[in-house]
Amino acid sequence: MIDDTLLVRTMRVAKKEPDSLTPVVDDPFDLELAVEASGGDKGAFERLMWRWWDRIRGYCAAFVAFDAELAEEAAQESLIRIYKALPKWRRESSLGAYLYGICRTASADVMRRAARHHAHNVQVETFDSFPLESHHSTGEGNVLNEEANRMLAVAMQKLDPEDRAMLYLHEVEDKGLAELGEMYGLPLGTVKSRLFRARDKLGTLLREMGYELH
Amino acid sequence: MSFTKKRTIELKGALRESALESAPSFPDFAQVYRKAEQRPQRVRRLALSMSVVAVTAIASFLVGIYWYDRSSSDTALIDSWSSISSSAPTALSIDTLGEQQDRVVVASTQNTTVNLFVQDLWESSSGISW
Repeated sequence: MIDDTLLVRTMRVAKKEPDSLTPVVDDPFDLELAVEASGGDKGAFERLMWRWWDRIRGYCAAFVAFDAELAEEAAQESLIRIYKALPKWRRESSLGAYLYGICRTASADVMRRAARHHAHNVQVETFDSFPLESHHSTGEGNVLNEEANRMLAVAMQKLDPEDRAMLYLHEVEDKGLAELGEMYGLPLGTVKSRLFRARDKLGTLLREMGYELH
Repeated sequence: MSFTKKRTIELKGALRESALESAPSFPDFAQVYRKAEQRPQRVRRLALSMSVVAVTAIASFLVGIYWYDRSSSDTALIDSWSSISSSAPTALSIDTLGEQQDRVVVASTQNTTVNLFVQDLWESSSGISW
């Protein structure tokens, strides 16, 4: 019985599997800009970053569990590192995997630095400012929506940073298992099980808060 | 909308919304270029200070070895004299004065033991080249 449920859930997580197994192809225009940027063309770098900005900032924000201060720091740090690292890109991986890899290490470093300096304060603030139970049953849609997003942020904080970032890429950026495997250097099976565990844990946490994950 | 009255959260929409709300809206390229240029300078400064520390440590080590070798012969004389003499000086120091290697300064709180030491030193060093 448990195994059947597990199978169904695993299949739900891996619903994009046929597409996700196809090789990752970079946008030719992005590649062109990346080549120009790696030669020191700041204009090309800025155009490339504008094209990737939503993806970069979204990924960084998800990695740091939607903490606005850390998200800003992580996104800015990512840009600096991308600017410095682009000339060293040898096309051993796709441009996307390369950029996300840089964002990943930058975000992890920002989180590590923040944890060293403010570990205690951040934890106390987090649990004080976010109630675990919702007390609003009526009101405007946007208020409820904000509350739901706060609950999601609280639940996301309980996940491992790598797992929530991976979940974000899979759910929001529609990254397939193959691309995630390339980015994280993991086999497909491991990516699939990590996604499943992350989603399952998130669903459990949200259920405890009175929400159903869809 | 990611949230409905049934208190369900549509994961994709809610994740996107939360991420983009908490993340900065615009990239600050001026800061990117400024910081990217500052970092090599910082690395260079760090490398320079580490080099200075390393050179100082090596120089101190070499001077220490030289100094130890230079004073060891004097110390050996004092040790050998102290071991064979029954009345060793209570405080004793030997120093050579600059380039004048034939001059030895002996200090002690007891004049008699200094005299004995100088006598012994003279006798024992008659076969040693200074």
